[in-house]
Amino acid sequence: MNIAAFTLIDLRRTLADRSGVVFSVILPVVFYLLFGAMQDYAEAPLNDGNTAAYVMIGMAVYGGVVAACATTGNVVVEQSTGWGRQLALTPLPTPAMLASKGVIILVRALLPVLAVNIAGLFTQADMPAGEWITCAVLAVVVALPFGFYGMMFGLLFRSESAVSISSTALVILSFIGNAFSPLPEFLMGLSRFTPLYGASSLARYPLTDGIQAISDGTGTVTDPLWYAVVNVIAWTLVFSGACAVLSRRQKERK
Amino acid sequence: MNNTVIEAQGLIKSFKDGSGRTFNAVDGVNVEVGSGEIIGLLGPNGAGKSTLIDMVLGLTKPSSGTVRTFGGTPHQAIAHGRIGAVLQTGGLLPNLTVRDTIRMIAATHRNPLPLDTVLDQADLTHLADRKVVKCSGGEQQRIRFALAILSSPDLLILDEPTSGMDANARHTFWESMKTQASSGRTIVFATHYIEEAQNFAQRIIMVGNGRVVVDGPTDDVRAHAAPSQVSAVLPDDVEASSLPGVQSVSIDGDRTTMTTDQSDELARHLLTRTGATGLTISAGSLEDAFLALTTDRPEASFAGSDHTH
Repeated sequence: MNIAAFTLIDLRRTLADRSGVVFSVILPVVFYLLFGAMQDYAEAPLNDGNTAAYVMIGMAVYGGVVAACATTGNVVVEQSTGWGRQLALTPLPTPAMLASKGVIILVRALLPVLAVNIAGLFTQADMPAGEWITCAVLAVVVALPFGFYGMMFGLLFRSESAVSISSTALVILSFIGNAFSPLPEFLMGLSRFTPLYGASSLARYPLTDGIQAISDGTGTVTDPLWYAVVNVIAWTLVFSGACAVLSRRQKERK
Repeated sequence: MNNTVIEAQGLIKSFKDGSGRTFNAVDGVNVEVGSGEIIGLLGPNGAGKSTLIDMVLGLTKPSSGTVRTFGGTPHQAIAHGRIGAVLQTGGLLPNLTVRDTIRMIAATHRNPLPLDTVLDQADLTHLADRKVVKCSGGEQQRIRFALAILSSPDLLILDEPTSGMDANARHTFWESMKTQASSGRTIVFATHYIEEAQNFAQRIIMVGNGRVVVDGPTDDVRAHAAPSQVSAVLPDDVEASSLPGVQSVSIDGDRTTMTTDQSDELARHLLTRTGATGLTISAGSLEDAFLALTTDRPEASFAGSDHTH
């Protein structure tokens, strides 16, 4: 048994989807340049860093989340075409297969996060190196639960369109989660309960210490860390729970 | 020594249909398959063949009853690479090359056959670098076959292995199966092509409505289930329907055709006791047996027929 070879071929196959990969990498970079680097407020200081860095992390999270979601969405669609049955006839144990898929989600999520951070390095984004690295790592980690999110859509729709529906929904969730441009203060009450709020706030925390940019009032509010932590945990449970229920329902029907 | 490869007892699988009613796709199957047997699994669409195969492979859990393969659970046999299967709906990844598909599945096995050997055995060497999506239905079927033999399994299960193949490809496929069989493998294959079962299987299991309708050596099934036809020109004083063993009679001009399951006795009687001339005997085909058994009789068994060899 050679899990590494198995994963490598699978990874190469995933990355062979050029347009998908390029799209998932280019889009968050372009968003960062448009809404971060090219804006007047880019160099406005924020704690030890600046606003461009704040926008950069948000876009990195968005990129990672979309990649994770697209990867698992595709996996579910593949499984339903019978590849899952093919794998079920091999000695490959389920934990090994999940680990293999985990590696692939990680690599896929890593690509946009890396790209956005490199774009940040070459533009105005600025923060201490330690915070920078921690934020980048967190951006990849918070993307992982969105693997379940993508899987949920895949189980629900079982077609290629599942991936595009779930990815499009992520744009809306990113806006409402205050991961893109600052929301007006009255929307923050809603925002804090949406999945991208937790992911982006947690990834930004090393830089912001909880500061959220808003579009009115004083321009910022400060949220405690536990808001983000509880949000991430709760949505991870919701997404994974939904996947468990959906896959059981589908098995019974089959 | 226990050389039972598959042992199914009281196997039932029920599904809910669209309106929420349950029906039994497999409805009480008892089957035992011994080492080295070559078995043709026949039955109309929806007879339960694929569900039965899924349970033997551990892909579907029985609603009740047990399946054991090589004395353990199907899962254990799969984990040890003892079962290889070509599934009707076994999916392939369209954007992977043939070579990578085989390498990927090979990576899941402990001691897979070398890539070149598998490519050669499945006649895929010239297609190795082609993407699966560019392969024809028959070629994709050969890829599935390649994946099935990767672990040199003791048991090969093939669900409609030749679907999508033209006559030529089917012939080549069965030739290669003969090689597989000669190495002592147990082979179970489901097919629509009754001719394939007749030519290749030593034992036939027919299923209908989730039950085993017939289970016996291929020749016995054919002989018992499909009556032979004895045809002759009979003298006027012979009443065909009163002859020994005659089941039905049809008359075409001066020639009388009788169906019987005792063709030898009837022929001997006609030639020695009557003035019958121009006698011919034709054996019933498996297809006739198949039609007769799956439409008329709910259940038939051949007591005393040794089908485990």
